[in-house]
Amino acid sequence: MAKILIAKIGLDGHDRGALLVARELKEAGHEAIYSGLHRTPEEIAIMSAEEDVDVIAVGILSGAHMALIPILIEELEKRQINKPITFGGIITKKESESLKNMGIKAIFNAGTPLKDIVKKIEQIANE
Amino acid sequence: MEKRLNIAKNLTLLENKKEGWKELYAKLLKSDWNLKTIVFAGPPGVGKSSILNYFVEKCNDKTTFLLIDPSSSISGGAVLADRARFKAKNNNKKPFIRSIASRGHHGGTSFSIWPFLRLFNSEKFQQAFIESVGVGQTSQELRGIADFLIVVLSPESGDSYQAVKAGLLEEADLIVINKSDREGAERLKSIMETITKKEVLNVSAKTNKNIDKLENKIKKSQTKNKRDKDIAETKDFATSLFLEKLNKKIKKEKRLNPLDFKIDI
Repeated sequence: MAKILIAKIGLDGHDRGALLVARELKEAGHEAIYSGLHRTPEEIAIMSAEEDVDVIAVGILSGAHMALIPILIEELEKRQINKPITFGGIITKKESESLKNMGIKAIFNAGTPLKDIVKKIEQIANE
Repeated sequence: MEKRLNIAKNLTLLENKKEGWKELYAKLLKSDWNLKTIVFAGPPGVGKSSILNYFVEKCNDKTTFLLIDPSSSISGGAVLADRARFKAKNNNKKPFIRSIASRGHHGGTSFSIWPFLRLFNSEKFQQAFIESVGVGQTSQELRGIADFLIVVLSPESGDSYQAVKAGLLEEADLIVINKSDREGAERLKSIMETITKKEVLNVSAKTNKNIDKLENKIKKSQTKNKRDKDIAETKDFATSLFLEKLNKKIKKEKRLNPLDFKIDI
């Protein structure tokens, strides 16, 4: 069993997908904590620490991921919180590469089957 | 932040019963109860989290919010979404918030609630707000945990038949009817007052109506007899451990004749 923070950052107000991922994780026997909408990177960092999650699964659909993910990484580092991050959303190949270079463990583009997402998150949690 | 991270790690240790949890718990037992516990219970969807949002904003870093949500009896997994409703910005000066999955524990709480409370107690926290799994009829265990037990209802929840039944309502220190901007709140209030003989407060988390009164009542409530808490803790622990053993044994039993069933404790 893993503990995963489903994190929505920024002005993006769409969380149906995030909730579906949460449900899928629940059905696979994991505990998914949902952050709620419109969180700041700082808030996500603190939540991930308080909840002591194994993985931070970020979902951003507003297109602001290249701005927000680096801030999240910075907020985590500032507090010496060492947790793997995954990203889900609509993202170009080039951006994917640069997120991976920043240390994001997995990228789930639109259309990734839920089962694959769960499998990958499980794998990251177990590392 | 380092302190928060440490607390969080210790909570996980206690929750998952990882190696060393008993030693840690034994150490925590040495500090006397000073933590005031305020429990919010009631059916799902009545607005417990929304009310608590107000207190998250008001409280400081000497307060913790423990939010219990149910685990799936099918998969064992859980979605913990109580804190998703909290609009208050959280940072280091704000309360420590932790979500808890009930993990098969009945009675509206979780096995780990006592070790968690002990940990916050020994970390010199002053109060703990506990949001229980949204149940109403079978959560008397909450009484043992709570210095102040608030049962939250909405205008649609229940009538005089529900009010007269045995259950959580009997145990409540205060009955709160949320969403009282809706029709039916006054009617339910008068039913509840007449039948339960308890204090009933109509509030609205949406419009903030009477939330200040609720706040006052919580402030005025006292930390209960510490001995009561100790007894409740022991009882809950013993019951949890026994149920765990029982469940394991039942699963192993191949030919189950209920009359033959024996368990050593």
